Amino acid sequence: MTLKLDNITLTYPDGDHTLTALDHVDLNVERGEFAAVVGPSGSGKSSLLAVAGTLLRPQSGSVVLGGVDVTDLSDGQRTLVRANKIGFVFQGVNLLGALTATDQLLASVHLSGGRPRARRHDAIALLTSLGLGARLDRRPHQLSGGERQRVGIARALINDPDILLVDEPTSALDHERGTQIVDLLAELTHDRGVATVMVTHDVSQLDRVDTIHEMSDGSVMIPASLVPSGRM
Amino acid sequence: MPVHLGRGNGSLFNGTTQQHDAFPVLVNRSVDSSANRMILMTHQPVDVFLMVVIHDGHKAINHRFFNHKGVEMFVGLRDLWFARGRFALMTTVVALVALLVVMLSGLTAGLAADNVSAIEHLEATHIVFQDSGDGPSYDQSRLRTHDIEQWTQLPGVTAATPLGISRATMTAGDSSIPVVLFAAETGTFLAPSQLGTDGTVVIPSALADRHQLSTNDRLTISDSTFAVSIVPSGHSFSHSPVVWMDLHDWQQITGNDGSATVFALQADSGIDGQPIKGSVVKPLNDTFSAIGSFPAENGSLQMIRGFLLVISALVIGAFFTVWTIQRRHDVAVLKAMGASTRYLLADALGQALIVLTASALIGGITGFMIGELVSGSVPFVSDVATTVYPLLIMVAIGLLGAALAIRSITKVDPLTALGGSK
Repeated sequence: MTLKLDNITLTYPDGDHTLTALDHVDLNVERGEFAAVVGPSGSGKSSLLAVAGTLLRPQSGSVVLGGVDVTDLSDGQRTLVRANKIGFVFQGVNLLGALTATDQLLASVHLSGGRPRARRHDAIALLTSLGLGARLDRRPHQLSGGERQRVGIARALINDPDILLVDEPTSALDHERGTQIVDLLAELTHDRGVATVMVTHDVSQLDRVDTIHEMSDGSVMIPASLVPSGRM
Repeated sequence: MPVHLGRGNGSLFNGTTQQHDAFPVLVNRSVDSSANRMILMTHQPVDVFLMVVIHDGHKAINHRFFNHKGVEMFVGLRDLWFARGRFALMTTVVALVALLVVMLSGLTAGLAADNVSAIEHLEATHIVFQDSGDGPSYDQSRLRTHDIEQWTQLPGVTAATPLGISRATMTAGDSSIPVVLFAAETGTFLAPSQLGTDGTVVIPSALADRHQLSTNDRLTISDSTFAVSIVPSGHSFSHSPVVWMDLHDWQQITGNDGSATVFALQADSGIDGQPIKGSVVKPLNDTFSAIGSFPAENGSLQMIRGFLLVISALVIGAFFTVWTIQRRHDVAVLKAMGASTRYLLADALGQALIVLTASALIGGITGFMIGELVSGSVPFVSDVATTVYPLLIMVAIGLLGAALAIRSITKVDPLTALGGSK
């Protein structure tokens, strides 16, 4: 199992009360599996992504990434795990304004301890394979929304992560471009053998996913009605 | 803590080709048996990655990851280039501060030299003043010359001689020249070799050139006539040129019969304070403040220079405070992507170091060149102490200001990169 969340509970202090964001949640995603987590706002989707991405430490349960239990790693170790084993595709992309498309990927290489100069050809090849060969030296403000999203995906994949965590990738795109991005994510997930978790509220973009996990009030359930036929 | 090391061939201790999902190729290993620790060094596709496994002899019980990263700034340099207009403006402002620091340092040193160089270059280690109760003063001290014997016999003193100091006006032809008279007994360790008891005064060549004086020309001081002897280099005291004369001549023209201003000693460093009643002895370099104008003048200039250094730190600090606030979201994204706080702080401090170094170079070189141009007409010193050292202090203080400004990076939560748009 490439990503295994086991019996995760996450609570936040909320005034005099405690808010339970994740309530004994289990989630298993295999290598090459494209999993979607859907649910209304406040259902715990983002919290789930944050725990899987080692950004939040759960009160109980365990998080195993690529066979390594990361639950109790120190902050420094979790940072290294994020740099080397996890790729993030953020909502609204969140590219770095000062960097060209190529440098976005090379920054990720540098953070993982790699040498950007040695990986320049890999970055260009990856961007070109995603249809961005003519946009290599463009900065975020010179790219369209779909192009920015593809650069964000390429940035998340440049270090060959075990896990790809995708946060609302279609929220800033129209339906057609959103479909293209989800198709691209599905293709890359299967071709590269990465375990992908996509958090989305857009249930119209779930045709290409392998498994769907619906969240409600901090718990995960798998509704049969939403599971794509032939994939479960 | 349970640790899974993934697929492997053989155990951790006897295998040679262990594979792990995260660490594709094992290239080296070493075992520290005393600490039950095995170090596996593996190659990521392009990078060295170090994994330390704490082992209890049977199974791994803990592990740590380290990646070996160079000090290369990647994001920081590109940020700097992208916002080059803002950084250039900041560099210009700090360069102007650096220029002021260098100019003021050169002027401070120049004025100080103009004030104290005659004292600084005395062949003495200590100066004895009359103890007036108000602290040592070259203007107010008066000592009886026959008291010199007490100092000569003091343990630790190898030589002692009286020194007379007073202001005077020297008349040469139609010129009236304000000077400071330094008077020593001819042949003592203080007196210039050209000094004689035959009514000679020793003046620096710069003063002689300015007033067209030649060797053996006659000049008048307080109605007494003296022959001119010229030395190539000269010094000044309280911003006036120093003219050397014999102590007995000085006592006659100033009416200080049997007295001098101070005693100059050659002594070991142990002598200090009031070993003889009615007088106080100070190491030579501690007597500059006994020159009337020196403390106020030097103190004011040093205070201005100190303020300039603080201003440079505040300017840099303010800039990086705003810059860090503007970058908070980028910092959150970088943290979520795996940037350590240390990496981000080093990146930001690297930017500050580049700005400060460029500013120091621009301001320092410009200040040095201006100093060279004006040094003939104003008291100005251009050397390492007035250029390199103050600029190094400015860079250090500026880095401190930047460090305080960017410390908020440590508080940026990478979670803010999730769920928001830019």
